[in-house]
Amino acid sequence: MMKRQQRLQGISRQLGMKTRFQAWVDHHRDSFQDALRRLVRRPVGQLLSMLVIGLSLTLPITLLLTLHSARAGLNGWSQELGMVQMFLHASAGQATDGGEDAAHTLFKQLQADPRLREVRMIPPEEGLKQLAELHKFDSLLSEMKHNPLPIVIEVYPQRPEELAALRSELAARPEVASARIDAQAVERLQGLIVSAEHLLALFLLMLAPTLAITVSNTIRLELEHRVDEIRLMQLIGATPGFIRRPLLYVGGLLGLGGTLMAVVMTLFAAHAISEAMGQVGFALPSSAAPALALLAVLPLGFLLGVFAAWLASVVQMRNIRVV
Amino acid sequence: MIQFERVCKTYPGGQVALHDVSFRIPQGRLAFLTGPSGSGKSSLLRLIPQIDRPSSGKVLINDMDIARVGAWRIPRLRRHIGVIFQNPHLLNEWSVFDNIALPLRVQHYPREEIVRRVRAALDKVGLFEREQARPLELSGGEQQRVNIARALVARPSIILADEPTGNLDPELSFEIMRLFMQFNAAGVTMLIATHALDLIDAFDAPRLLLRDGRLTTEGL
Repeated sequence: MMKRQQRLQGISRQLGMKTRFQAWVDHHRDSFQDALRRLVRRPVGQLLSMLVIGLSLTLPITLLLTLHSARAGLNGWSQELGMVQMFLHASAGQATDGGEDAAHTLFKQLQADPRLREVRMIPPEEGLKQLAELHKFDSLLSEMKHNPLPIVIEVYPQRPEELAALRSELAARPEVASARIDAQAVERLQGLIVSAEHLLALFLLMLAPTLAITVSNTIRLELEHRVDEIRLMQLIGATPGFIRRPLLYVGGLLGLGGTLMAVVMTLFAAHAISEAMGQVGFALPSSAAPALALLAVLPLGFLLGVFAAWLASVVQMRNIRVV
Repeated sequence: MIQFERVCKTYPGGQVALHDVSFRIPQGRLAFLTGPSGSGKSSLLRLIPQIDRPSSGKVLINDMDIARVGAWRIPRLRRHIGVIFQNPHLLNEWSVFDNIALPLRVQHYPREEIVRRVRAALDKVGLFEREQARPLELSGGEQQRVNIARALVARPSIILADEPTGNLDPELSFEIMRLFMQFNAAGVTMLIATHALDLIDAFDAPRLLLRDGRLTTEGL
């Protein structure tokens, strides 16, 4: 029984593992060169395929990149605008026997604090005035006999990351009724951008089949073109993997080429968007990270191309039989 | 060794190609398969490398029932069998060298060994100087010799030839038959289908005669 099996396994079994591995590597190299030849043989068609892949990936990647930059920009913005807003007790505005009220004492202490970049005090009168200007109800406010607003002190720290600690420290002071960090609007906008990023990532995932379909179509045409070759290979004992290997490289190279086009177009588009945003006063920060992330897309494009080619060849080769 | 045990082959349309065919060609022997066109010669040959499966009966190669060979092992079975058709089935975009090297590449032979074996095969079939030529630059006889070199280069234990001299002139046909005899002398089991009776009369080898799918043997 063993002898019969050994006979069936053929001469290839008699070759050493090292030799077989070297031959396997040689076949990969030959398959890669063959795939390149196949692509070069029909350059216009293959470039168009890559262009379809590139264009379909460019839009979502560009938007994703722009949103990423916008989020980074807002991070800086929120840090610049971030402040602790303190609302003082009404008693803090009353002068003591010695002279100065507690609010002013606190204000001066905070001005001397080296951790703070800026300290502003808004007395109730000024607060009321700002409120009236903002909401256009001057007449209503003028009829008020008592100003209900507290004294407000706003502090801007040197280091924005200390905002939370500073708020806790100031909230514990006896003069302070409450203290809050005011960066909510920016945070809300950031939340929106994160949601948009997630949506776009989903959109990008939905566009991945475009790459797969384009590659599959090319592989189908390749198989139709080489039916005789495949039948001959089947007849002389080629395994499906051996027959498929050059096609996988074709798929991989198409995926890689398409993704490379997408990356180049994305970089141009992102640059144009960044310039346009700069002209309206919203400068997007330039960072190496998105460019590096874009480079990571290249192997993904290659692998997706290989997978699509594998899938297409498995389906198509079922219909090819030795005649 | 090739053995058929009560093999029948009926195609889906109901056409009976082989009826209760039994024979045995021992290892290292050569036999001619003869019969008029449409008698079932090609159908019989196609069962050996599992291109088709018998409707009933057994086909054994080297004592193994090939119906029991799993689909994933069929390529390995085929590496043991060299097939030569009347039409050479060469790949016209490839060089003669690459056409002949294909079975060795399929079996993962190292590069140096491929070069050595292909050149030896080219030498044997008298085409040593034409290794870089494309098949379309060759004559019909040269193309058939490339076909034979490709079938032999991986040293299969069995060679099947289906009308290998069908397109060749008598002189070249005789030359190719002599080539087959040489390979057979080296221990390769051969089954050659032909209806050129005058050609095979010159060679002393057993014959399988097929007529309407039924077999009679002479000398086995």
